Amino acid sequence: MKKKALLLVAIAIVASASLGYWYYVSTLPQPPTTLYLSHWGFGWDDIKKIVIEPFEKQYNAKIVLISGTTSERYTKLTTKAEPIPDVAFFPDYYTYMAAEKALLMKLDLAKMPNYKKLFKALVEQIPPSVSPYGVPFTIQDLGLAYRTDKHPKITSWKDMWRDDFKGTILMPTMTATSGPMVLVMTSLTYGGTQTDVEAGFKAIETLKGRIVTFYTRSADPQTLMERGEVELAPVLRYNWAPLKKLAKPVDIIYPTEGSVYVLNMISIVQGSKNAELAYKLIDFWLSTEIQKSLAVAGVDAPANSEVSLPSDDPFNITLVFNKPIYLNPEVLAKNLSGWVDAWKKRIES
Amino acid sequence: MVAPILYMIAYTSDFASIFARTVYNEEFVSVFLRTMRVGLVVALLASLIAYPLAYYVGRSSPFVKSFFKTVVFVPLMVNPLVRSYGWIIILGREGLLNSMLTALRLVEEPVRILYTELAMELGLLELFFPFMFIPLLSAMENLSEETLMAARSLGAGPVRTFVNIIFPLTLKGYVVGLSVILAGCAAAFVTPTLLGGFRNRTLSMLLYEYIDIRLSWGAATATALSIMLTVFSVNLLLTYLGKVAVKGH
Repeated sequence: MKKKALLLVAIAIVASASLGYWYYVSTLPQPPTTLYLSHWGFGWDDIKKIVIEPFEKQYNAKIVLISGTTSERYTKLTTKAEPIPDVAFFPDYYTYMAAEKALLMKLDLAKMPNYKKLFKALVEQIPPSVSPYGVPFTIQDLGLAYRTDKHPKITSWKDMWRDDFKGTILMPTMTATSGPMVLVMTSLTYGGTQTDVEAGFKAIETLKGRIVTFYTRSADPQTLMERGEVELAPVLRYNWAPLKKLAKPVDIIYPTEGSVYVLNMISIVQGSKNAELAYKLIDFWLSTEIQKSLAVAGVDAPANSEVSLPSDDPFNITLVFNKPIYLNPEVLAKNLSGWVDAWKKRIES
Repeated sequence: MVAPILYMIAYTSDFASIFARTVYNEEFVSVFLRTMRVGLVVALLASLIAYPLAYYVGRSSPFVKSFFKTVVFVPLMVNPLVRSYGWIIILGREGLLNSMLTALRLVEEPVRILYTELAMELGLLELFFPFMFIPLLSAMENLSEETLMAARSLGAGPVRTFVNIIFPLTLKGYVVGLSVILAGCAAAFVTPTLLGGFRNRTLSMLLYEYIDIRLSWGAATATALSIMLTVFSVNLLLTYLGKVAVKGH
């Protein structure tokens, strides 16, 4: 009798403990889903505050950044270096290259309602070989940054060849986003075309002796301007805010010859196990509120047409865009390898 | 070290023609010559500083020895990236050196030092100097004072003493230092990239370019093999010359 009672008590204790544990486990919060982002990392402090943290909270996610230059991250993607990203941020011509290698997923636009708010003028010019694989979230147009305390005003792309800029010029390498843009812009200025850039090479060859060094990283123009190593550099719109915040007086102009631009795109990597969450992130990034916050913080110009900014805001692309010239991503991608080799031999040597 | 390169060679189809195409071209030759030039300049500068310094320290009191050993060894504990950024602050257009030169009115305008071969050589000299100093100091400490006194008493001047006594007896240490410097300069990446820039590429920077920028794995393997063969050849040559020089004495 005593034995039976003890047995019943033991069973009751085990049953209660099991029930208690099951209840505890079932009420634990779900662990967040990790999403890997391949991004330049430039302006990440602001992006984290504006986009990442609110998204992580709203969707119970954990975003892990894989940072690097465009070419470094593209190389990692082609070689499937771990960790493989779920979402990749590239300029449109790299999106084309990645799509050609079947590295990106074809997007279902219905899963991103904010896509409809993007500027039609931007979306409609993207070639069909690129548009299914990425959505544009900002434009990167090419300007010239220069030290206003050391040089008279500049207005033209040809002002780079002025004698007062001797030994003070910073150029991008051909694999930086702005590299091919500089070559094409110079080509267009000196009578060439987007595909025939010999005029551009010849003109930049005459500048060789005046170039201090070549940059690969997004932060290099402001770092080198701050240190006084350079006084003139072709830069993209993401450099605007950091350059304006420097202790040294710097102005950025968009040349009279026109502003060449590319679109930065967000894509989902083929084989991502978190595609649904990736779609939510992209839609979140394209939303009016987020796009406006990123523009106000000086991170990215908005591609969302519903964002309204003051008329004198440098990120108000509808008003400050001077003679926009869209660079065909297929042309850039197909010529990039040859241009890189020629640039190394003719310009960087 | 050798196995990954051999694996890549085996994995690359038609490696021989890729190697020939990579190596027999103007760009590679120019980068190779620059790498050798930088290595030789760094080795020469290190020799000119390390020899007299090692001789002096080798004959000094324990306190002086400890002081110089600390001064030379401590930078080794600092990451090369941090040391390179230190050089950027010193050599920059608005850096310490240019500020001194303009303040003393030795130059009218700041001198371009950063992003030149000179900047690279200074950075590499600072990086690899301990590897010349340490073996030379060890060799100098083993030099017999009686031998040097005997040479002096027989009428040998400082130059003759160095050429006939000191140099042969410290040759093994010198060869070790030279080998480390030349191999290190061929393989260094961070310092040449930060101080020399993409204009003054060395073999290691070319290797990085082939892998990360041009996605040319065959050319990258060819470049890696070239670096390895160059370092082995230089080591063999130095060891042979060292043995010949010692036998000659």
